Amino acid sequence: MRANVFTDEALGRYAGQFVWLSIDTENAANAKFLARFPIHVLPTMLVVDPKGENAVMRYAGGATVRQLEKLLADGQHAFRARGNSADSILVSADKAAAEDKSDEAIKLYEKAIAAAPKSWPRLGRAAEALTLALSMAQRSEVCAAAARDLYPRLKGTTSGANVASTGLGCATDLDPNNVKRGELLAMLEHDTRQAFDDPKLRKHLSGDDVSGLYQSLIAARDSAKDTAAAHQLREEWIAFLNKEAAATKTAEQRAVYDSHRLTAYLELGTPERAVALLEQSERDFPNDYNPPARLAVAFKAMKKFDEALAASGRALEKAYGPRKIGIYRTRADVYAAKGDKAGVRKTLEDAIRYAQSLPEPQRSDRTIASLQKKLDELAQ
Amino acid sequence: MAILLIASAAIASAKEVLPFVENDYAKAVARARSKDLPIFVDAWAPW
Repeated sequence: MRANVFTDEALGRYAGQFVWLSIDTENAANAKFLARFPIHVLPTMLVVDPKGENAVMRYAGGATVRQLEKLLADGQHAFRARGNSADSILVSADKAAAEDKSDEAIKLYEKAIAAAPKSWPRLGRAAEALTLALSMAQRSEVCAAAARDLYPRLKGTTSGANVASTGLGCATDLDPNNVKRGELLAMLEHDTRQAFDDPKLRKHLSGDDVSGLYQSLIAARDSAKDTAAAHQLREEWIAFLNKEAAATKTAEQRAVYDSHRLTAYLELGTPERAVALLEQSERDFPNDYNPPARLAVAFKAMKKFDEALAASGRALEKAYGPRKIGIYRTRADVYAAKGDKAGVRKTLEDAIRYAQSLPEPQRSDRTIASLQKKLDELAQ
Repeated sequence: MAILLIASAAIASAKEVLPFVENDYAKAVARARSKDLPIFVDAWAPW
């Protein structure tokens, strides 16, 4: 090849498009190169990206001038695509998401999906990540539109179910005056329902995922003011949750459903039905603040204020981190419902002191300001 | 003499169709990075 291919004038137009490196595999000077790129067939041709020093193309064996031209074109294409492939963009998107750079992550997930080849195995994961990030950023219209566009490509998969459900949640959150709301709601409710009713798919969905589908479908019926259907779905939802919880093997697995079950019972207007299961979890996990914190919410809804205060007191003893502020808030609400102003004041003061004591990354000025505002309103 | 020179110039230009760096990976990487070009490697053996 050195004698008759690389010397062919036809290759001249490629001269400035690569840096050309000749490696004599017998030469000791090339030991480092060969450690990085083991060569087992001679000749072997590689195209290497100098940045990551990784091969973007490899061809073992000799080639004619015409074959080599094709290899050079492929190598060039692979090199240009190195930072643009859907996979490498997805890696950057995940990195941005992990660093809490939500806007950047959203842009990169969109870019990865746009660059995706026809049957890209990562499309489902990228689509789920994108819609979830948009939903959390409260960009409801973009979220719902993305879900509507992506669902047809993911139909019949667990990702498709989650994308439709997240998108439906976003559509429900849209401003009632938004002109696209009706169409997005209708399409995404249809898609979510389709995933929900697919028995083959159901077997592959986690209990959490199915619970999420119920919540989106219920929210959609609520927004359509279809009280009967919403109530029916809620009854089905709690029956599903109770069945899933009963089928678990450990207390830890069962407790995963506690928050879902409490939410369902609250929405059904029957918080008393959540008390026994939460008390069971409090006995099973005496050091966990979650069961008494949830009991406080249930008792508050039942207007059993003293029991709510006792439960939130037990939760506060064990709680830590920013979540503890939520427990203070519930406690303040209970005092307010009791008409105990002094209790509200003391609880808010405790909450502010606690919020201010949190270390820098956990401390939220917005949280402190909102607690302070509540306290100021009390004085008026 | 004149004919010989032309012949060797022709050989030299043929060899220069693709300006290969010989057995110096580090040099090729540095050059490729500075020009943002991919490296084409021909790994061969003299036998």
